[in-house]
Amino acid sequence: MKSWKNLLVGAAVIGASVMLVGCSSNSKSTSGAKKDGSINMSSQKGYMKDFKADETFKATSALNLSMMYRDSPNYPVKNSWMLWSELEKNQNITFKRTDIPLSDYPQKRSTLIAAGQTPDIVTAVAPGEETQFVAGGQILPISDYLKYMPNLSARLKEWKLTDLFNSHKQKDGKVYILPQIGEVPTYDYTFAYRSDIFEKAGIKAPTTLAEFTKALETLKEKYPSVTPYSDRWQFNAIPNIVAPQFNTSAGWGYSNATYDKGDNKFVFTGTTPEYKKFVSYYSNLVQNGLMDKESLTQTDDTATAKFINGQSFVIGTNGSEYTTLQKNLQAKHPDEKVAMMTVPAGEDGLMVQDNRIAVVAGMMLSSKLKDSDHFLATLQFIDWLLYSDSGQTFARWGVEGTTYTKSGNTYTLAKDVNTLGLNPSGTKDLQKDFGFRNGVFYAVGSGSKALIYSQYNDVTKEFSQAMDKKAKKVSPAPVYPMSSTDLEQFSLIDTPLKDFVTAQTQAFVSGQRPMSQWSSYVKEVQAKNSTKLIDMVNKAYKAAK
Amino acid sequence: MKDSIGYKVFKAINAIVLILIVIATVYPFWNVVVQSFSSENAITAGNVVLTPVGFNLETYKYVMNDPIFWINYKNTIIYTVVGTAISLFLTTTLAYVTSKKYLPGRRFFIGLSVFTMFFAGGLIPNYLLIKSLGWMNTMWAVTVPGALSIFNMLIMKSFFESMPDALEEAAIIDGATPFQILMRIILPLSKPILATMVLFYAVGAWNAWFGAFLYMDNKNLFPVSVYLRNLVKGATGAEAQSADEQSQVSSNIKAVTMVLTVLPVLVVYPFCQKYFVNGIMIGSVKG
Repeated sequence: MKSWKNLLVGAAVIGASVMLVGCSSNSKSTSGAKKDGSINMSSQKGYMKDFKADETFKATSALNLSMMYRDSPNYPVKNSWMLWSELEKNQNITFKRTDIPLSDYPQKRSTLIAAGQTPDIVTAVAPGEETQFVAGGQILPISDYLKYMPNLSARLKEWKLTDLFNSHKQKDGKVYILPQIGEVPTYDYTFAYRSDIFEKAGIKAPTTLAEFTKALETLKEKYPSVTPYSDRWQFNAIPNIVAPQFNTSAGWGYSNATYDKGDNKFVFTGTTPEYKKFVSYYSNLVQNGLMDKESLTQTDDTATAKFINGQSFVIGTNGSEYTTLQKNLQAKHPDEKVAMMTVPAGEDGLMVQDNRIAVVAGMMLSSKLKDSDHFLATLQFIDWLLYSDSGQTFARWGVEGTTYTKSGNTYTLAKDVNTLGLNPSGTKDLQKDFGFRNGVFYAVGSGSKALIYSQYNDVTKEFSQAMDKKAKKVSPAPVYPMSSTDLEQFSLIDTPLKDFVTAQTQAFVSGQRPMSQWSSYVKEVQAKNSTKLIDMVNKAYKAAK
Repeated sequence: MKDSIGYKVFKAINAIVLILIVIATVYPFWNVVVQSFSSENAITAGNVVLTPVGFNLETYKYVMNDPIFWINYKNTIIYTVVGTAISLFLTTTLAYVTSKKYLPGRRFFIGLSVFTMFFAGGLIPNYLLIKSLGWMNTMWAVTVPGALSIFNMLIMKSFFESMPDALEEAAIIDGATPFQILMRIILPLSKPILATMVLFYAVGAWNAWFGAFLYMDNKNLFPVSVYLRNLVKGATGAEAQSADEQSQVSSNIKAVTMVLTVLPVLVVYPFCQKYFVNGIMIGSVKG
């Protein structure tokens, strides 16, 4: 028919013109002018000639670096922040920022990088997120230039982080992420509980999972109308810290592949006996009325309200949420008290993830930097800011004399400055008004032990020290880096399997599916290509060894 | 004629079901309004249900003191007005032209338009296009892409087709140009459909956030929808977890921002309601 022919011709014309437009480019050249791993000094400006570890960096000529900045609604970015003015004054660096709201940051970050618009510095990249950008060639392999980063090199050695750092190698054997690193592990998530109720019931703070279960049982006996444990974060946060007690992973930290040291190979997590034990533990809690079934789905607000209204006595919490919990409970009933317990240990002791290479936002650098005249200066600047003591003190505390004072290892906020509830009489906020303690340039667990502890309140200090005494670090799994084509295939199987295991775990825990059906669940998992997935992992693992 | 018993029962059940649906729909919204006047402690304790607990206007003062909120609000108004004007212009002209059966290649143009409803260039080509046009960080990036909704165009086209040819023929005899016909005869008679289109486009533009999010790099250019989204979604979810930003923006601040964002639409809607209801049905078979 005539109209169909017209339509086809029209579509062809459109298609051709679209392709022509697409072809004129934006060349994303990645062939660096420098030899791999060395920088041609004569082409560089602004760098410090004798830059050593723990020396304050100051660019020898004013530099303007482009940066992708993640704008958090908790402290909306301001151009007037002292953070920017100090960096200009002391480090001679200004920024051309692209401010991106935190709510959808990953999406715009991916779009900008894929469109070839990578700025010099890409902030807020969690270790693991850099893998998707490697194949596009837009990102700089940091490991090639470690010799120009004396602070990072020194810290990796001093804090024995080299193995952990190398576990972020991509398929080509290079590391592309600049992570936040710390001297000691941090413990953020645990259980908060009504210490006054526990006292009345004669229960001591549990230290093992067996004691934890016993505590819940005692509470249930004493208060039969209350389900003692109701959780938040939709069963993602607490399983993440409890699963290691069963030598497995779950929640946010779940990975389909677990390394079996004995057999020196990877196995599928969701069907291991350890995972079954973990799921059974929770399934029993729910069945015996000790854990609220709604923990799996309820909003954080609902879970918190239950705890505050006495409809539950134990809830998952973290450092900052604990302060909110405390405040709200105090406001309601001054004699109702909340406390944090150390994470209940498993049979092998208290296992914790080694998070000294923080799982939160690190940075990436653009590969175009290689061809620029401020490459070395940028490396030195980031090296100072993220990995030197003075850099991290600046990022965390701000300016001595203005936002804080220091004597020995004790840091005190300035009289009019507050953060983390450490100085309630302060009218200005360290984050909102000054831009310091900014999650883009520091992490709760970044820097030396002294620095990390300097911002703990008494409760967190006590908690961290108690955890430190008992905690055994789970050694990181070996790497299995894949090429981008393999990775695509891997993700096609990995993601649906992960979703399936999560959904079935929830079904088993809530009692919707009885544990007697575990073997059929195993068969269902295998039908979804779990064997093929693990074979891919093992193949990549052996190739990388 | 009096209603039969059966009909009375039907009316009663109908009324009950509808009232229940209204309660289910209105309650969450009412709850947010009530939260905006309540204290943070009361909300966290889950005590805020139907009336404000710990009534205070502090949160309103706090949010309204944020200069960025007002700058973004101003942007929303500008983008909505300009965007609606552009959309209305493009939609009306295309709909009018394709409603004329004697237009050569009419089927081609309609087919081409419908084609765009199913196929699009994708995120990155769009980004590159806007960038190469030099529209980054300007209001054109927000108002022009997607200005012409083919769905709305087809509705308008049906409306124009339903107008009697005699009107136009009379005007042509009197020597009017097509443009004059459109401006002086067709449009004055099209007030219902124009009002409907204004409403459709304006509400869409008011809520739109993704275009501004993608094409603007400076928060002074964002509309208030981006501000609100960052506030509500930005402190929960996977990204926040990986940011160590687990402490949420207080519920009362979220509630106040939501109320302030929705208020204008809420105020204007009752006046446009009859056009909205009629507009959906326009173009359908007339009795």
